[in-house]
Amino acid sequence: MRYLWRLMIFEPRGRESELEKWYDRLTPKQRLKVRANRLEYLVKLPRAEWRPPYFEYMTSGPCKGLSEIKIKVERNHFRLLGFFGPDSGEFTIVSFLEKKSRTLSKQDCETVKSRVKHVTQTTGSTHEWDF
Amino acid sequence: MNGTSRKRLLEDLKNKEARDAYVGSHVRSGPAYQIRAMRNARGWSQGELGRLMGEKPQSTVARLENPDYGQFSMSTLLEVASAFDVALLVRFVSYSDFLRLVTDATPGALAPLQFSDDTFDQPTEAAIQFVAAAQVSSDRQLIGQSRYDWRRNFAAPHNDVILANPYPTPHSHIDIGGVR
Repeated sequence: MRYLWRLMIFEPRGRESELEKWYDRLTPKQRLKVRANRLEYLVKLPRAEWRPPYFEYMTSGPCKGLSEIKIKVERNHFRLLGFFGPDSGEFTIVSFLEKKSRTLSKQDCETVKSRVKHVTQTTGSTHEWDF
Repeated sequence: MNGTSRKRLLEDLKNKEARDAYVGSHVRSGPAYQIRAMRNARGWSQGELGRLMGEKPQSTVARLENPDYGQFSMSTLLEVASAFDVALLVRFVSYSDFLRLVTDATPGALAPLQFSDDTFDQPTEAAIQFVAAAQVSSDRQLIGQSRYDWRRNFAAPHNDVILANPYPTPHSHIDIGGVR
């Protein structure tokens, strides 16, 4: 049986994203912790249960309207910025950042928003994350 | 889970420290996701669940629903189970059985039915899978000696994960797709 969600990544198939490069560089222990603590549950949860503290909608600031999956590895926090779609059953991650502060820069938000626009207007601009 | 993802998972599990961490993370974060899923399925607020758990404050429930909290006592888990009127299962299992359970994507896997809604004469898909897994475990015990012989002759180094059942049983249709 399929999971409720597929995690998609902003990069055409065959091109590795920053997120995938980072994930590949983790140790097996770190990678399995990310899976067991976050990814394997998120893909099974109804959308209504994607909620803080592991998921958040940005309701104010320059990134208003976007959402993020929050991941912690050791003492470092990471933000996987994205949106639900473009197809049903998909959450597309368009940007991956190490969390340095609570707020994102305006430039970060502009980059993310332009990628969202690109994904929604261009077919084949994403591929599934084989985490 | 697609094929590449499972292949990577099995590869990472060959590392002893990593698989210990994997189990630990599931055990620590899984209840949090389940508590929230069960509470939402019943339409309860955190405060309502707290009251059903013996007048616990809402903040306690919020903490229990945080997958990064991960400090559940057995008595707390039993209180949660009682509040939702579901059973709590704590048992040691093989890694193949563990993977089968934690990757279960069937409806109800995270939010099981309460006792009064349970369909004992019509098991859920999750229950069928679990019983089948238990049957495989039982079969493995029955063939313990021959399995020992198999391990002695063919087994990989002790730190390798052996997920494939070397003795297919009538229940082999529930094989999780281990590396052969």
